[in-house]
Amino acid sequence: MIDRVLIAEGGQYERRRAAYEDVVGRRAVDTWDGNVFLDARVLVDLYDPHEVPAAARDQMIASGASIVSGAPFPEGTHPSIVLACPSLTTGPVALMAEDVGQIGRRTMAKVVVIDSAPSFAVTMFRSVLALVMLGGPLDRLSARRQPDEASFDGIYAVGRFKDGAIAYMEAVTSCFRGADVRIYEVMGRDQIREYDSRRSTNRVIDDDGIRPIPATLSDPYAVFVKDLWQAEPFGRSEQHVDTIGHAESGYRALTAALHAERAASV
Amino acid sequence: MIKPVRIAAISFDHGHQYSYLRAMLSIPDLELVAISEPNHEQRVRAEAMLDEFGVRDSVRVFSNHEELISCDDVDAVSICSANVMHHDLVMLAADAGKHVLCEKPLATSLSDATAMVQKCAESGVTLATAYPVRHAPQVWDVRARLARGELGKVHSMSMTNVLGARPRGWFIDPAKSGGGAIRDHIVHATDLMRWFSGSEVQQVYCEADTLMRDIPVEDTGLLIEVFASGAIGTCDPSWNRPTTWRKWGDVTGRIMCDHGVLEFDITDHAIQITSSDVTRPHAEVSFAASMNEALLRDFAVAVFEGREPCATGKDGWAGVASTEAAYLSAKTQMFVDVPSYPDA
Repeated sequence: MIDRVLIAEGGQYERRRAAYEDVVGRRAVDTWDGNVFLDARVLVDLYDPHEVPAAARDQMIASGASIVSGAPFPEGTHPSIVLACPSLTTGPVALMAEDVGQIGRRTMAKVVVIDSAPSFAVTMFRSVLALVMLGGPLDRLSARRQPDEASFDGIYAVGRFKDGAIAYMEAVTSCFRGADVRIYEVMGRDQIREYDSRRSTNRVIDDDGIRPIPATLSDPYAVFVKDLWQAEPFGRSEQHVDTIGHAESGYRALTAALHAERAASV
Repeated sequence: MIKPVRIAAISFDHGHQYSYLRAMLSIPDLELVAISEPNHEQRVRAEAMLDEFGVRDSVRVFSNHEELISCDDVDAVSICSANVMHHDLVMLAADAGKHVLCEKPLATSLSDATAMVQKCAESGVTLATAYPVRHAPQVWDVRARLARGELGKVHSMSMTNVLGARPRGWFIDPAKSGGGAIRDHIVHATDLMRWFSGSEVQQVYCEADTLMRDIPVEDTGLLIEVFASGAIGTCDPSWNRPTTWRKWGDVTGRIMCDHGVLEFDITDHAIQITSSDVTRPHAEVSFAASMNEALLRDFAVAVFEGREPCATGKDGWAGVASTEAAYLSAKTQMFVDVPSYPDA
């Protein structure tokens, strides 16, 4: 039974905090600062595990606390880690994935995520997850990263899905503000389905110009946290276990591919 | 008064030749003097265009390319044969002292491409590669902005040059085309990325397959190209869009720089600029012009002035080098080094 939730500072802190407050109440939610005693009654929500020292990650796992992480731990998988996948149940990728059977024999899927936020691992994991949702399990990936500087960090990957279709991924973080975009494409012999966040955003147009408004009333992270609480056992929605597993395997292959001459097997 | 360059159109296997023919008939610096086409249907279509322009009587029509090449009153030729014929026709034309504009891809092997470049240099004739996309006004504008360093350092270039599932005839006969979508399309995107970055491709990774239709060449592919400057390029050259695809093809690009993203689509007649400058975050620059006319005009002026054309034979060679590396990569699932031109 979890009775306390600790939110680590980092990307989307306010949204993550609000999502937990909705399900466990404000009093049970606090900020994780690394000095709090952890046990099995605590859940820690990390945005990017790479922003936490390795010793703190080890300590978290050893404490028996439940961990929600925006990206896989570098040390590997552990039963207490639940990967945060807000796009699995709501939003454009989830919608496209529902209808992917209508496109005919799949030829290609592309995911382009350009983000001004700095959390590279989270963007990379969620991009791979989107690829898996659109194209199924991956077979191999080859990739290059450029240029690994504070002002720009991008990864470019090409590979194959298990069904033979070709996979493309472009994940950029730390870009200047205003460049943010998400493009998802899945192509088959009969249909192409595309989403471009710049074209698909709901808008209000008035004397002040054009203002984007959220496409849905539900914040995807809030939906994710609600699902997390309802799942039995905690955090493991059977429906998504395979997809998340395939995405985590793809993420680890991608990491291996960055400096390799040969494509990494997933 | 300077006399126009007397030009001839050799082969209409590639449909671009009809567009070039129209351009030749519109540019004062060029005088169309002959065409050659062995295929009856294609020849009749070309003759109809001559009729349309009222020049049917002044332009000689051959059914044999060699006969045309041997004509003394031809200064230059535009070659748009099936890909595998480019080598033989360019060699013949260079031997006869004709300047050459050769359709892309320049050749179907690197050894052929090297021989063609060397032959033209030895013969003292211009060899231009038909990369009309370089002459799209949007592309000029993008290049100028990058050259001025308007948006800072180029980190990556993501390009597409895709088609609906339409190619047929010799395009899907590997004995005549030398390959499918990879052979046909990566040369445009690769050329633009080289031109934009002022840098050569060092390594290529490629996935390619026949997934859209049951044809004997690949129709779907994706590439990563690593440039000497450190920039990363990617290219989707596929013929895997449905036949209802809204464009004849496209050449699009998204160039990520330090301070901005440049996006262009040559079939949209506009470029979009998103900048980190908050006073002017978005801008659109519109154009409308014929890149084929600009290609032919550049070729004519290059021949006149004895200067290099915008896209040389060596630029065509570089496209072939990347293509060969891409095919090897697709077989081996490895990054493959791309050679430099032998004299570099």
